[in-house]
Amino acid sequence: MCSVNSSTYQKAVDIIDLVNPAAPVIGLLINCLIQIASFRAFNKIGLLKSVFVGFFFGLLGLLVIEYFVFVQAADKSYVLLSGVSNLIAYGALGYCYFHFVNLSETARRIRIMREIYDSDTGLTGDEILKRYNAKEIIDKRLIRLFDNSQVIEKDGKLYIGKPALLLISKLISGMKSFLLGKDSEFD
Amino acid sequence: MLVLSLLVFATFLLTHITIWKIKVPIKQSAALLKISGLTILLFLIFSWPFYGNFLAGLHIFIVFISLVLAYLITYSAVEVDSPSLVIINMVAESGSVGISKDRLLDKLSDEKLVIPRIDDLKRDNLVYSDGKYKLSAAGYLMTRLFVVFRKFLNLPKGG
Repeated sequence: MCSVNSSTYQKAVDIIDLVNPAAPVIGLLINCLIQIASFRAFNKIGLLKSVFVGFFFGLLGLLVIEYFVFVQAADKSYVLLSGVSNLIAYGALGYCYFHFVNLSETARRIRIMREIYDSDTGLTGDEILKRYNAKEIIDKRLIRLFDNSQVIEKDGKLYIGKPALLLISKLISGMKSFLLGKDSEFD
Repeated sequence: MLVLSLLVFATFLLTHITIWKIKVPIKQSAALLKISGLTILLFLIFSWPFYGNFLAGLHIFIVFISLVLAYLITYSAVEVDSPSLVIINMVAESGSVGISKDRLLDKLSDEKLVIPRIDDLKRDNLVYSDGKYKLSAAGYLMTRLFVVFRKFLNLPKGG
């Protein structure tokens, strides 16, 4: 009886050891499933909130796995550091998923490919521009910027509202300048 | 293991910056993928005495790939001007005077916002042209992924 129990226990430990490296990926899977389910189930949640909800539940899933790893581990300090690695990896994967959702919503190249995908025989440059052009791009972005109060409109003129996106813009400009030696792709 | 994961990512970043300072590659994302692949492969081979088993190596690999993917996604905003951030910059530069929407449209034309992206798709072999633009196999797969994803969410086309 004791050998069966210790054998079962050892199998559980082996499974936990195998699951630990994959924990961030498991967290990401939970993140994706919950995000899609919550967005479909609750009409008013909005895409951004559903991404945060998904991230939260993915993080919970990761922490549950880390708890079981920690409880059975002989070397607690090693497992703690391993847990920190997993948290960093999950954060990075969650960030990637957030941008994947954002890309599906805003990316121009994806939209252009989508227009070509939807056509039967391909599209000329002019046909692409009839379906998707600078005016639509600017209109959509202004709606988002107004919704998030990053830009405000007063007497027909636009002004900066909340500065969050402006700060991000300066950070990206700094990176462009450092890595590419220019502030804009058109320089 | 945490230290090894962060060390290999730091090596990747240093290699990337060094190469960029010599000459920025034409296909930047593809170059970053190659650098990351080579970095992790060499690192795992030569640092084996420090981590010593397959699971630990797998762990380092997963953490590294997660960080590289996050960096690649951020880098896409460095490589290409985001229209939202360009709008924000133009509004900020106008200061207390403000800027009209018509002025934005004047400065941000199809030649600046759409044509360069079509050129990127051609350069990256996601579309080709035989008189009309068509999706390559890779372009079709990528688009299909997003189409299916948007269908799961019951959302229309983005952009």
